[in-house]
Amino acid sequence: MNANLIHQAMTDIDDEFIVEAERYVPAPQKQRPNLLSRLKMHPIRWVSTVVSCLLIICLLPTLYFTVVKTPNDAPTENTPTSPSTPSTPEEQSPSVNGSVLFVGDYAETPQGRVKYLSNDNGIVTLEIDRTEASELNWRLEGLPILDKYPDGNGNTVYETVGGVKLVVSSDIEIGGDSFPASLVVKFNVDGDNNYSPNLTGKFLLTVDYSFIAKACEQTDCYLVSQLGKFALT
Amino acid sequence: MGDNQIVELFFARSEQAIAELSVKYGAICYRIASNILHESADAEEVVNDTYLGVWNSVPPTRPNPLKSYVCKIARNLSLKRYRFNSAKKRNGARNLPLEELENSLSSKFTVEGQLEVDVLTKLLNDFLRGLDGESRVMFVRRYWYCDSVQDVAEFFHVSPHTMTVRLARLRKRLKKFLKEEGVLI
Repeated sequence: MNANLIHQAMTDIDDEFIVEAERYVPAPQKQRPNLLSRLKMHPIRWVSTVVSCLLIICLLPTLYFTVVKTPNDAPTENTPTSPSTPSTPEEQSPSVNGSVLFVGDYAETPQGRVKYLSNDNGIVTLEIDRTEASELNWRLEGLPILDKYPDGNGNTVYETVGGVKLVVSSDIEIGGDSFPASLVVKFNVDGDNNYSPNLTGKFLLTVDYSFIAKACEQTDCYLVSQLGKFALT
Repeated sequence: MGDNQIVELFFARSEQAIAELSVKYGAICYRIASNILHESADAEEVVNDTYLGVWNSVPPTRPNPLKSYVCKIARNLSLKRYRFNSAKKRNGARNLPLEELENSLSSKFTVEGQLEVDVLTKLLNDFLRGLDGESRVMFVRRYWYCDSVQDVAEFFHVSPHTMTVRLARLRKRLKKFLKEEGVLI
């Protein structure tokens, strides 16, 4: 009964309310201010701000690596012994500490004994005795020889990507097949084992450490990354 | 045609009065009936009964405004049919607006059985007068016209959830008002 009472009373409310509800025109929907207007900034200014922020975000790493920290300084996982900031020759080649610690594959392969001779401004000179080194596996994956020219000192310079230069004495030609030595050096260029020159006598290996960071982008490029420049004599 | 002219037609016992009434207020009558009954056949029947009710009561009554008079008849007939259907379980559809009010207010009258409709109506009028225009229209649309929450929300350009909350607050206010008036416990 209560329910009926309520509904009956509701039905009998004043006519004015019934008419009002029919005639009522609600206030127009309030236009909620969007984010831009709420922050009271012109849209063009917003766009420029966003673009500026994006530019800064994109350029910061580049600036960091080009100005603050050069790639040569960047440490690599595969060069645990390489210096992070090569300020002195000794620091640049801490792994070259005597005999065979230099460039991993050399030490690990039984091709022969590598002897540390000198480190001249990052140009490390090693000696490999051919009588004890029967074979050397040069790994130059990802470093194709782009150019070849004489350096005026009786050597031939082979340029590869990343600024790596191979300086070879004139009587040796990489890729050639006229090496009369028993020692075999395999140059794996472009992933192909096309180069197997035979060498005679002793030869010196000169390595430029400045290309470590540039070249080392693969897990097995440890050796390659260390072979910025070397000379075979 | 104006309301007065329609009333005059009723007074003249012209069948044209029904036709004019149907043209002018048929839709709103159907809307009220449909909102309460949720059944188009029942709603149409209620609308026809409404016309008959107006025909029988005018004259002698001279309704002014005619619109609310007709709508009240339609609502009364719809409620009657709703109760009939509910009692006989002929219509499983529940009328949410009615139930909302019932659940808020029923079974709590202090003077149960003695409270007259007129008294409660007066209190409801007082309550509605105390509301701001928007809340009043909201309340009447929901609990008199029995519009759905969705429809009322669209009418006021708000979300259904917002409307539900606002209606709940209005019911709460009504309850508080009736308590203060000593009608509710």
